Amino acid sequence: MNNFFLWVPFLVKLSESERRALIILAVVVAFVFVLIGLLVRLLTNWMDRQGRMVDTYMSDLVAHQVIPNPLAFHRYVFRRESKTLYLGLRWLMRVVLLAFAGLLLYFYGLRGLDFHTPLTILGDLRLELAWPTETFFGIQLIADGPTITREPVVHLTIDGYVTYLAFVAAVWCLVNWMRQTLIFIARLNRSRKVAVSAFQKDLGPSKTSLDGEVKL
Amino acid sequence: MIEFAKAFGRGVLYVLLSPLLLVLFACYMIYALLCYFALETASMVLFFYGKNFKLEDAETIKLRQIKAELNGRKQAAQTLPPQNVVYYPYPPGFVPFTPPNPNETKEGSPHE
Repeated sequence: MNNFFLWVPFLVKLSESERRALIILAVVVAFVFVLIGLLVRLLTNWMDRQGRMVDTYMSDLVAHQVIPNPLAFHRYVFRRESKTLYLGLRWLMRVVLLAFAGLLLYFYGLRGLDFHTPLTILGDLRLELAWPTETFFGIQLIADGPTITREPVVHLTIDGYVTYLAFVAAVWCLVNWMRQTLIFIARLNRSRKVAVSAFQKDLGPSKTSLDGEVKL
Repeated sequence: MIEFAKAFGRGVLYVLLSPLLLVLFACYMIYALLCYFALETASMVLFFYGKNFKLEDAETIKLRQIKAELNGRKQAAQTLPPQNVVYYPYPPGFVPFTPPNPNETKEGSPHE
């Protein structure tokens, strides 16, 4: 708290340009948080839609009393979703494992264990930018658009093709692995939400009329 | 404005919780990998026994049996029982010719 009061006179003495920079900084930070919030909302909506699949296959099992209680419900969903996860991942993993085996064999057999080459080829794809900065309250902030200091170099050789192929396979594998994992999490979450409510009986006013007639 | 504030709040919340969420997500990803290797091994074993890895399990089979049984009952209830209809082979009043039985005439009655 004491530190804050030490800063107050300093804040009061802000110049017009510093004040503007402070406002712009606040707006940018707020925009970043809002963007993250919107992305999270999109992701949760997608996960909710994926989770609905649990309702599709569990409704009949619960209605016909094959699944007797919430614990069995959750266990069944976990077991079934583990299988679905495997079925979603298997061809992806097989292809990627084969691609990596090919990469290892290529660089082992033809390049004499020279694994430095694929790393160099991938490293040459990087783009380097120089961002001009200014110091603001002791913090380095970006003050202008970037300038390119290094352009990517593409290796159109056999080594290059093999490395790029393995890299694309790795990225594809990672993205789909994450996607399948998110689907798995979404369905487990859905199971946690509906496991109890699926077995609850409701005899409240919405289900019964005043004269005791049960509405089915 | 409220939506904006909600999105902002959600953004702040998830930025603060992101390390924990990332750790949890990484655990699930590792589980997915282990699950893949375990079930791939099981699938290979099944392959050598001449079977295929299926999503179908005991509960699904039981459900299918229950449904088949219910469908059978429903169909049985829908089909009408055979009604008592009397079919006349001849027009009313017509007496068909029946030839006499030769055994009866030959043997006759022992007391005659």
